[in-house]
Amino acid sequence: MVLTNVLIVDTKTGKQERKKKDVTLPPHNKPDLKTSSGDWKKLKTVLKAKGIITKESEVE
Amino acid sequence: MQMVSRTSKHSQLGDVSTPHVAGDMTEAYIKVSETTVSGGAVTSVQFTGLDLESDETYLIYVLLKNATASASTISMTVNSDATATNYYAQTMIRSDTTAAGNRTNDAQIGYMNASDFYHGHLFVHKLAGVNPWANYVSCYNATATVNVWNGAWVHNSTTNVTTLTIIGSTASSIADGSKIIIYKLG
Repeated sequence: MVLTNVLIVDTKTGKQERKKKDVTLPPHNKPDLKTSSGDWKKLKTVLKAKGIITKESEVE
Repeated sequence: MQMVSRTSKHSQLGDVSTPHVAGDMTEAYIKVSETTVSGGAVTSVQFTGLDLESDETYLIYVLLKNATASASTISMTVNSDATATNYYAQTMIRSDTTAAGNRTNDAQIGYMNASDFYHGHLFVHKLAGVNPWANYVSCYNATATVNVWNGAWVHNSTTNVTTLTIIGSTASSIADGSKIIIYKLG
């Protein structure tokens, strides 16, 4: 949760209101153009778990 | 009322020799809201008072400028549900000659690079008793390499949608001048 500025628009009345609210930020998903599926991510996780690599970035 | 397109009457509304009547507008996209951010950057823009089951489809144009020096993933949540695992998303991203598909749990609709922009158009659909769906095409990266991100998500509840929220993953990333326009199918 972060306390941040939000804009609220009532589509019935057209009224707009700025507020400070506690907001849960959505996940930050950087576009992953190096993989074509989640399988590669799973593989990196497994390799790391088995101690074959220490950081996932080793197999980027 | 303002229209985008679709079947219109009264000679496609170009005929102004006689006044248009309400019936001329019955087969058209009707503007529900047009909002331009001003007064300082915000983290989210929330639209209340919607009725997706009654309206069935919204067409939404989202034009955002990133106010920060950090990248921001853009999401659109329903009914203020910020729990990412309640959404099932599938995306396809293209950059130059590379394409990648991803399956995630979130309400993402695209991405903004640092100090860059987001431009997307979305359709949101729902019938009574059915989960709401969104599908979209968006682009980002204002350089020689234009990135295109399209996809869809479904929310895990069949409750009617009365609120939609456009939100960035980076606080205060939606800059002044950003614009969001919502149409419904009248």
